[in-house]
Amino acid sequence: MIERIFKLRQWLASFPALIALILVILGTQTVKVLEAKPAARQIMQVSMVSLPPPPAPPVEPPKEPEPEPIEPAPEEPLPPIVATPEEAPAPVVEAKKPTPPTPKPKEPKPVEPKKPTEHKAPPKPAIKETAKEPPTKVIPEAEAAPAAPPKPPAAEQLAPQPTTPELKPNLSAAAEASYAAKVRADLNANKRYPTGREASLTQPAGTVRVWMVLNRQGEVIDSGVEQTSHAMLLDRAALSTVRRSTFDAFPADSWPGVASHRFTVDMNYQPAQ
Amino acid sequence: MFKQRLLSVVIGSLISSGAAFADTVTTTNVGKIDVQGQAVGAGQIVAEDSDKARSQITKSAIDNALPTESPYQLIDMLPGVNATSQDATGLFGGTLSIRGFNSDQIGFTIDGAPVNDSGNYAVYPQEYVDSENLEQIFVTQGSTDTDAPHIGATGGNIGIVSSNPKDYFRMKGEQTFGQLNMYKTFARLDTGKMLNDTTTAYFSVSKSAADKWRGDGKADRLHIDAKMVTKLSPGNQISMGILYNDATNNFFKRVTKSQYDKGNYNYDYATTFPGRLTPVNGTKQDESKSVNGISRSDYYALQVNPFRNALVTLNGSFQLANNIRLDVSPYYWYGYGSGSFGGYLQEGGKGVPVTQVRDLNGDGDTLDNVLMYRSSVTQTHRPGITTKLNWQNDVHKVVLGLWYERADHKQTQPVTSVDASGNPISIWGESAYALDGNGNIYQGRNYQTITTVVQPFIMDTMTLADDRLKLNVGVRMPHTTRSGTNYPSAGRGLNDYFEVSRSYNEVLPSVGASYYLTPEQSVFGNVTKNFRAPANYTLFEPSRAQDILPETSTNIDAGYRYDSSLLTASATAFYVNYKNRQAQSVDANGVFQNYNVGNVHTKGIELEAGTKPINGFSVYSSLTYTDAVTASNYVTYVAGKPVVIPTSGKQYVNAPKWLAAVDLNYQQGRFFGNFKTRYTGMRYSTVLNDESIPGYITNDLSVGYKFANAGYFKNPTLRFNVSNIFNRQYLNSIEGTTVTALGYQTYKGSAPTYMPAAPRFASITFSADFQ
Repeated sequence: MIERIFKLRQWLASFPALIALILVILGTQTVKVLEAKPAARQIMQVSMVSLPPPPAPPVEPPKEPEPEPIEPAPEEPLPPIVATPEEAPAPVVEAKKPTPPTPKPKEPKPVEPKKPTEHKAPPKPAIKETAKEPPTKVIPEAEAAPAAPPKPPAAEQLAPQPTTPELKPNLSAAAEASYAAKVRADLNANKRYPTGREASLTQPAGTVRVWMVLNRQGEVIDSGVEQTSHAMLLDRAALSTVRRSTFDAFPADSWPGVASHRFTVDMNYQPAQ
Repeated sequence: MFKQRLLSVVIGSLISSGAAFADTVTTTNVGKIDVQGQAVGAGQIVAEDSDKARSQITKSAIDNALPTESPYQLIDMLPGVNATSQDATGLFGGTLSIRGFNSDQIGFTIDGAPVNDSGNYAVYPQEYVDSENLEQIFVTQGSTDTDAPHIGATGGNIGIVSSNPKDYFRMKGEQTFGQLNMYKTFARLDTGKMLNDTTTAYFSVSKSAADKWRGDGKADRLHIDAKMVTKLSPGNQISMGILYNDATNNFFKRVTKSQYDKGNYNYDYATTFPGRLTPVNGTKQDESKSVNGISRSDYYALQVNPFRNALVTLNGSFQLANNIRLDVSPYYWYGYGSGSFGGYLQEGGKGVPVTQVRDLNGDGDTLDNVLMYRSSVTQTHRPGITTKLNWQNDVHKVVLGLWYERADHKQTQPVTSVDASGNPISIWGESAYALDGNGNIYQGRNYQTITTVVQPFIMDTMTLADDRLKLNVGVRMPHTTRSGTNYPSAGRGLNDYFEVSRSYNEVLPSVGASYYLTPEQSVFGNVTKNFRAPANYTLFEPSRAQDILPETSTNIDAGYRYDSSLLTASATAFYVNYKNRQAQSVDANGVFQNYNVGNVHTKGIELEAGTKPINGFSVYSSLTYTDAVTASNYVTYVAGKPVVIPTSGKQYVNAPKWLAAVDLNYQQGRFFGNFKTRYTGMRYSTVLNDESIPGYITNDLSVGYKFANAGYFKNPTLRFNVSNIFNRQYLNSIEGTTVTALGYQTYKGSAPTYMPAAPRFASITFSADFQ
């Protein structure tokens, strides 16, 4: 018996290291939990869920009401700065916003609903709108703007077109389209094909759809993977691209009246040739 | 029933699209972004984001090179890499060192399976994947990956990755002709998608040969690669790779500096055979006497390296849940062959029967000293499996794994007959054996080593701070057991049967991090402990250096990376504390054996940068500074008295202080061209630094033209490769280092050995696809 233990001594000796490692993992796990539950996170749920006339309000509600009032407030200041006449649309959206109190898991809707409202918008005015931004942004945007619209239309049908015009004036749509193009450009600057041993050996390829919710300041308040690529490395890389990126504040006349907006992006990874 | 269901689906979709209408403003899809693991410029650098020094070359760089080039040649521009090749083609192999560590201290894998010799960790790059089937080669300069299957790597690791089958049907043919009767014929068939589009496969075969550039003899190589990938469902796939290599090469002769200095650059083994002595009963024929200055055993045809290898790798990847994946990767390596040299065997003998030799030349007496062909045969059966469970959440990626391997390694050394014109009767050393006093096959060595490795490992990669920070912690715990069985042979100290077993256990942690300062700039660093179990031969050394300690090293990297639309660059500072270096020495009894001879401290800087093409031009460049210093004196014995050789503070052997490389690449329209310049600084070849070889510069050129597709023929491409274009002559590789060349006090020096560089070599290659 003792001999057997003796034979296993090296294994036994490695237990402390294993335990230490597990403790480290558990330790950071708690960090993660903290990170994962910022109050802000709930905010985005509200905006996303807003439209669906939905099921039961779970336990969350208490949190929603709080952010709601708070968020709109910060928003107000922004529009003035931009000094755009299009304050009007805000009420319109507000009107269709009554639903917010009913929160719901974001999961189900987003997939279908992600309507690229921007594509039907004439890109030119959009650029003007954003000209107020640092000039560096304008260039990528100009490039990206044409590129972005073509994809969504292919994927989504005309559905969005009829609806959005009803909801908003054209100018707002244009601003949104240009902002979306800019988001795309910013993501483009942060994209990376993963490297390292696993990436080298598996050469993963595939498309990940990542979602993110930006507040009006352009801060990522939540993000996640909507459609997996079935390659962990790529899901992670796509998520990192989103989280690492910094975005501009929303133009005043885009998504009027909402505290945040949800975006999705399809990241298509191919190994080097 | 069916219709009804269909109807409800339609209704459902109508409803949901209605919902979508109402929902449009909540989510905006910003479109698709393509992310390619783009290699920059000539394909010798990619934007790296790991926490350790790491470089890789990709297919686009490999495609420019001479098709027979070995992995050593393909990576010789990368930072830290000090690589040589015995000839221009790469068919004869070469040497490699990184950060002062020799190739047998660096872990090599092919598609994840370890390929260093399971006994002494030697690497034979000429056996590996055909370059046409390579996807990339990655180099981890110092810190071995925690999940890598290595027990012999105090240095870093190098991974050879084969390409996947094409999605479409394709036949590829390639033909190369070069100087020195060099050719390579390569053909590959890609099946395209089969079996309900789940499976793709390819099979390739190549035949190549080249004459030695000095002396007589040649290399002959038959190679097969095949791979099949089956996608069972999204996230689940299995793949199988097969490699087979059958090569017979004549050796180049190693030269000492004094031989080289005589001025005969083409000095090599004898190209003429002086003839055999006629056996006469009752008188002694001694063939070891030279004839007109030519020794019979020096005849080139008796210096042969025949080898066959097969490697089968399987990789299964199974998504057990959304965030859990299981990887199962079994492999099987088979190797059989020998390094064979001419030599003399004295008949008779007075010792125990295994040391005696029966009549060799058939004259009925046992008086003669006969020319024979001595083959150091190694046969390896090496199955192994790596299993990894991967789990990922918002912050963590945890990998829990186990690597298991059992290498059965048999080493014999039969001696076989030579025919009248000086050729071995059996190149593989498999017939016409010399027999010992018992009538059994005479063996210079005859032992078997079974090496089992069980290596559990765990790694956690944490992504924090808006995903700018990646923190890695990992530990691997290789438990290695070497069990040796010695069957009686004529070898010194090996006359009797014995068994010997040793275990080596280590806990090898690794900690690292990378942090993005801006989208373009990042910093990284890591500390990793590596180890190397003693080579199997230590079990069988005369006084059995069995209790020798494993070599260990602690490697620290700290670096900065930059990646923009024009430039990709990295700078790494490193420090290595290398302990218990193993080397041969002599004990108080005058017995030669392996010892731990002390420590080496290495520090340095590795820089690399590559530009994206501007007007078709791109540049890749690397610069390496290495300061490797022996930290211990070398203690040995002469006639039983200790001698301390003052090696402490000396530069370590075969570790040039400076390495530099520049690759100018041009690609415009159908034309492409590539000009490589490489500088390797002065290197010492003795631990006492009393012999060195000067630095050298070498230049290679390749130019090519891609013709228009013609019918079914796609990508017809013609290219010319010229290596060592200025035909420079210099000592290229250090093959054998010694403690001192000149001697120290009573300790006698011995001369290090080298290989001179291959002269200018030109070849032409035509390739085309049929699809």
